[in-house]
Amino acid sequence: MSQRHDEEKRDNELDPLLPIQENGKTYWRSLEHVAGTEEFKDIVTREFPAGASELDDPVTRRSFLSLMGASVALAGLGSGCVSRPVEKIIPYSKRPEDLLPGLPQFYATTMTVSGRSVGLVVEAHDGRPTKIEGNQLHPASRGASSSLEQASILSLYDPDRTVRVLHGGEESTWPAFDKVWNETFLSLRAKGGKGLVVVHEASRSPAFAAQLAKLKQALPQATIVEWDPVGAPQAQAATRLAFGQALDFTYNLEKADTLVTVDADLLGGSPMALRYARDWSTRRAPDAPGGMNRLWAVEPVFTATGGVADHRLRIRAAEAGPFLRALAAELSKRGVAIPGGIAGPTDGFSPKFLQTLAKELSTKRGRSLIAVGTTQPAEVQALGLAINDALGNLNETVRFAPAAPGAGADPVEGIRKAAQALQGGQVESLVILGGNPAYDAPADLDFAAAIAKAKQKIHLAEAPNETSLLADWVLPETHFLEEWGDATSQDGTYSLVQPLISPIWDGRSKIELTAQLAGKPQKGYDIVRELFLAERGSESDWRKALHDGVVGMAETVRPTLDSAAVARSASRIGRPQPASTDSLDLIFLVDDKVFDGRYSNNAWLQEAPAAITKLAWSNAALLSPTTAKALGLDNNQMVRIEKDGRSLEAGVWIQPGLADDTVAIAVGYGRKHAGRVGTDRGFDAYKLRGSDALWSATGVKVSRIAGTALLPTMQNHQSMEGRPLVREQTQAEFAANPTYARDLVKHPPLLSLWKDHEHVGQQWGMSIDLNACVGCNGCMIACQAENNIPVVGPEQVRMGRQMHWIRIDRYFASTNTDDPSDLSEPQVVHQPVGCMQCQNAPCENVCPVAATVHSADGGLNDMVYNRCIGTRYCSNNCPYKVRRFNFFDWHSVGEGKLTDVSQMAFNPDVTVRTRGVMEKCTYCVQRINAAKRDAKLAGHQKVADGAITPACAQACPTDAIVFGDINDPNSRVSKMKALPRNYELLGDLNTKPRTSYLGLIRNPNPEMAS
Amino acid sequence: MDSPGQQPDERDDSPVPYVFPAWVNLIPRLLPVILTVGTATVVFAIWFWGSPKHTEVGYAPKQPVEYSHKLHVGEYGIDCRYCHIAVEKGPHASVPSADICMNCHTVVKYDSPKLAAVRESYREGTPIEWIKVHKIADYAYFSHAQHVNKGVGCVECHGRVDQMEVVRVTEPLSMSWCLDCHRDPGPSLRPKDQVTNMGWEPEGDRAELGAKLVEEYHVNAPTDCSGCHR
Repeated sequence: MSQRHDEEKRDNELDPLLPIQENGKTYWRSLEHVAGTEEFKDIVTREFPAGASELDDPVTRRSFLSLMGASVALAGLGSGCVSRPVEKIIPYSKRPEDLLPGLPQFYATTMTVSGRSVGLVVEAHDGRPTKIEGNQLHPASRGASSSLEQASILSLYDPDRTVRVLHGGEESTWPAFDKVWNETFLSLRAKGGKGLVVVHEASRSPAFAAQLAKLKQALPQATIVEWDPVGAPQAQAATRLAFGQALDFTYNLEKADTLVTVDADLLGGSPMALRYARDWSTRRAPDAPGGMNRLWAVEPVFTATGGVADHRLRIRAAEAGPFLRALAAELSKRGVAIPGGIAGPTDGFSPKFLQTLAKELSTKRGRSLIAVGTTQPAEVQALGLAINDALGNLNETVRFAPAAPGAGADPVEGIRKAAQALQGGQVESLVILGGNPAYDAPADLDFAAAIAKAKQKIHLAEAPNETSLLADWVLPETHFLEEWGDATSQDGTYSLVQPLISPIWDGRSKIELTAQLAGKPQKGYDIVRELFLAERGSESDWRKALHDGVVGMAETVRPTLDSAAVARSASRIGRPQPASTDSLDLIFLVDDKVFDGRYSNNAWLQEAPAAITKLAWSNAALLSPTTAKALGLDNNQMVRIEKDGRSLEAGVWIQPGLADDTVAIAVGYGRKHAGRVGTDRGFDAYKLRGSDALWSATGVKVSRIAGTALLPTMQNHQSMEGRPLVREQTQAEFAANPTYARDLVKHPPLLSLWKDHEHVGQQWGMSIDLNACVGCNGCMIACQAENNIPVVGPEQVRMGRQMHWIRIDRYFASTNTDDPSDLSEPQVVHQPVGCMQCQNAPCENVCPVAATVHSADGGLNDMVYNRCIGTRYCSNNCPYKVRRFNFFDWHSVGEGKLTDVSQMAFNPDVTVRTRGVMEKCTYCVQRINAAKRDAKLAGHQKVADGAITPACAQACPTDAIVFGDINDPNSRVSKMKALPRNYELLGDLNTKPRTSYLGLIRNPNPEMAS
Repeated sequence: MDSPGQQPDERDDSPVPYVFPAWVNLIPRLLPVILTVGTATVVFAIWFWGSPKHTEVGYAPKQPVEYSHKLHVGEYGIDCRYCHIAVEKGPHASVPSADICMNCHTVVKYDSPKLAAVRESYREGTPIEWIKVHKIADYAYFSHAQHVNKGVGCVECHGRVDQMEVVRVTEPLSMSWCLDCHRDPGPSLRPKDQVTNMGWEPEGDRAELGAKLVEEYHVNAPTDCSGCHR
């Protein structure tokens, strides 16, 4: 455990096959790395993995040749003999007042997905939205956005959206539906609404709640239920249990010195993740005001939060309650006033972990936080709230607000009621507003069969899915970028949804359809505006709300704990039956990419690597290394998972850090009717999900079956040849030796053959803080959206051809000093890597046609697409492996194939590249140039610090990426680079990169090390 | 069999060694010359007549409406910016929308058959599809605002539009032509208030004025690739 950098260890660095010994730890990229498999050696030692330059797939070869043939045939025509094609300029007939062609417009709106409302500012070019950013004014976003928000632009232009009203599979029209509904409505109203079942998606919209109320008023006997497959409203049930009223609560992570998450992915999957990540990161610098915080993660599955935790304990999902009771017992031993009946036995959990944690918490009253995941039962969450209360954390680090209307219903009760009503055969009309219950309703309810029993089946769908196939009427729904609405985020902030484009297809929003169902049809704009003027403010407030997107926060509630109720329910929390390899736990995960399955057809999200597993285009049955070994399973083998007579065949992926005797699988895959991109990807875990165990089940059997699943993963790609890439220390080590990261690699003075460039004027640089990165993929998708980066598809991903300009390398670090290859309790480090814009770039020296050159004004490494002839020597020479080659014209073949509609998502300020051209991160040069233009037009010769934010930096919730002028000693990035823990990646190669990293500092409790 | 010096007999069966006429001997000596000169000629021809100077200059497509700049700008003196409204603010100069035409033409020549398309566009809301005249490659990005606001006159790139009945291309708009100015912007600059004055002539030495304006207007024309290629 030393910080010495032995000379002997240098040999290791040059051998890419050996683990990276650094910072007193051992780093691995993957289990193949640990095992030293042939496959890994192959990937690592070749620049492009075997097969990358060869065409293996006969279909691809044929289409490749046909494309080549076509282009050769047209070359003669296109080049000199024929005059250039006629292009048109099409102005307006009557130009709207503020619209000038070529200049983007920005509007504020909100995106809500299943209880997660994030305020956004959307950029539109020529009347169509092209880029989504967070809204600085919205507390749940603070200017950041996650991969889901960034990718929703592509969903707007999805070619598989519902284009027009469909009736029995035939094209129809809204007037035809309106007429039919009018008749249905009259017949329903005569019966008081009996015979109508409405199933709607989760919504946090007051306007939608108002329309539902109107519907309930018009048809009081109708069954109106909410079904959200991944919603977890037990939080409100927990507050009802603990405080006697349903409340929303959010955490203030800035105030917490000690954070404990129990099966909670605060920094990744939580609805307030963007805000929490930001607040957590403000306490992560070693010199943060109030000192560095400490994160203890207790969880069964590796989440983003667990990855950045200082301490992590693996438990089974069902052990969360017993763990909290054990913690309560330890706390009460240290003088914390735990209400009677809550404490429980402490055996079965690591005593050192429990005791050290309890000791620390007892010294942090009012400055600590215990966050219990919302997928845990209400009793367990209430237990967490009670412990917070005992520690004095309520109203300090836990803030309460009145629950949003409609929140807190039992997640399954509603859909069960609907299924029963449908099974009864008396349902005249079934209306499904959004969502996909035929696919994602609990398997035991057999909702697809139940749907068939209704006489009239209406589905309002943004894109036709499994449920639409069963419906008589499929009505096109507007995307959120096309509709008027509103939303309340989890912390109570009210914000507006305003459209950036009128509905591309013939869509109506949920609000509009519900108003129509209630017999009071109205345009969305009028509904939202009237509601606002009636309840929230005046006309001028409305105008301000439209501009800001955000109206203030709800009032805080300060509830009192009902300890007796919590104690009663806590006493019912018992230990689960022990698990074994014959009787495993099964955990259902919400995928961080396709979410509950709704984004299956979104190619950007499908291709994004999952945060910890780095799997793309598929999910997998995750097993811990120990369990996999016990079951005799390895990666890519097929297994059958059986529970309660239901079974699923899935591919295995070994996940270090997963609890033992557990199999975890993400829902949202294996869809049969998801469109051209999303169909038949992965394995449908909803098949196993019964209404009795929505999040975790026990007694599951896993057995090997014949077959191989070729799971595309990105974790071994672009490996960096075993050099010291991540530099980390503990807080104590940093205090003793602050310049460890900077001075780690000893090398002789770096000489160069060439004279150095002059650095006059503004020179751009970037600093990435490893301490802040949680690996959320926001930067990757933001970059993809901003720079028109193509999608290559799963087969090409397996060959290493994915095109992301910035990637997040994830390293597992073994904490077992006796056996470094033991990855059962790993830590995780995320390292975003984009083009370093080297001052002494290896790529520039080797280009035969000067397609990549250095700019004097700014110091960027320019990539000139039209000059590139596709030698790929530059990519070969790049030690960071950040260059991407267009092996095919990704826009004309495969999963990324463009249509008239999907190409509207392109950013017009960035060239769209074709086959044979190299591309890479440009520091968002289009944004740099735009800022320089604006500055010059305003009369300034320099761009102010902070005026330029590359897409990755803008999306990042923790501000891990900082960009600016390194020639200005007062700029933020210069100050970052002046920090002692600043280091350059592979700096000893004398590439002089402009992007540098801030070493990772962990803050372990010193008592845990003994 | 034949004795030397004798001509071969027609009835003789011995093979005839050479059937080629004598001038064929010149081919190996002429071929390199022909090929060199031929290749050079072809290359030169493509370089000269295939360059934008020849392929671009003179392009004057027929427009859907016979709008005459000579009449409106040259004779009536309408400033460029009256119609091309975005030229000082954004990348495109912007072709005017029909409502700008109708500012005058609701009164002036309100029933002229030549303006039927404009009136119809204004009435129906359908745009007029003008043919783009000045074009650079899609991968090169140009901003009018940057140039117009720094004293580059319209005439430098577009020629004497005020004398054109039909707009035609007068400059090659090739990268080397752009770089000729970017490497030495002085001679192309003029005082900012004269940018739309097509007939402007400098009072003193153009180069001297140019150098002064480069200083005064802080002209820093990019010559790096990323200045235009992104």
